[in-house]
Amino acid sequence: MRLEQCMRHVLAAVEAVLGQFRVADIKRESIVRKDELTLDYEVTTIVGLTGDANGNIAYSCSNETAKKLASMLMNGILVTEMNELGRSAIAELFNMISQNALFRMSSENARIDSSQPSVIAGENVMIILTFMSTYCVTYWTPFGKIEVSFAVEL
Amino acid sequence: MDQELMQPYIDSVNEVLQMMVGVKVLSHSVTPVEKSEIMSYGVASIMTFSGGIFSGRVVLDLPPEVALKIANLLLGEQFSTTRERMVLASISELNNTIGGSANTVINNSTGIGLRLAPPYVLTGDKLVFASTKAKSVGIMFKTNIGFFRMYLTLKGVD
Repeated sequence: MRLEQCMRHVLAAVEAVLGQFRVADIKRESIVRKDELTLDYEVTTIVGLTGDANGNIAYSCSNETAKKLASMLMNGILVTEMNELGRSAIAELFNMISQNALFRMSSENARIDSSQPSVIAGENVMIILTFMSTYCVTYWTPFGKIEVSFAVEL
Repeated sequence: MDQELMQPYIDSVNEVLQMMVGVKVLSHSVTPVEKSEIMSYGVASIMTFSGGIFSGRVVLDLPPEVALKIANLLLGEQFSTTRERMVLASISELNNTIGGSANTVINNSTGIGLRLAPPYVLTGDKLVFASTKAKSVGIMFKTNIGFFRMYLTLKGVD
């Protein structure tokens, strides 16, 4: 499986899972390749991959977007601050997306294991996801911007 | 967490710190982590691993002044902020070496077959790491340049 195919499975998973939560009107920008990736979002969820693909997938957004996504996951209960419950909901959402992507990849006989997601939140956050080249895609959703970064070697 | 799985990390921290930066671990203490969230000291490297039914992560969490001392020792330069790329790269490499060495020992002794994802590294204010519920242990290391903590999580092991 090629890296681009892998990335497309991740993107298909993002759209499928958000679709399951009836998130419509999602706009996707084109895939951008970066030589090294530094993330400065308030909330980032990272899932590690090992096996036929080795690396990390990161999902990043602002605090406001994270609150709205958490609220969506909790059947519309208003989330006014990103507390432990909100972060747990965010972890669950991006875990679902990652598992959906891995299921799609397994249909091409790729054997990939994933680690539990880690949600990183804070102020003035600077994350160096990788020192290798990374594919990034920005989504515009009704909840705000979500950036998906795919730093994986096959 | 089983001592057989934890001890290789403790040994690896001792060996790698001495070998890479000449830092001596004076003592360590192990405490269970009850919460699924960790408040960071300010600089952290996270590396996840998986294999078969197991998955987990190793977090190296350092106060900024200790991270700077390690980067200064490793690279022979004087850095003043943890937001420097090379400072974060040093901590990432340290975690990679510690985790890689420990997991090799675990794989050789247990046959679990854990594989590491590349580490990522971060800094910031009021940093929180959250994860799905799994048993973790925190290991506080006291060294001749200050203290830091390692968090070990292994899902699939009681």
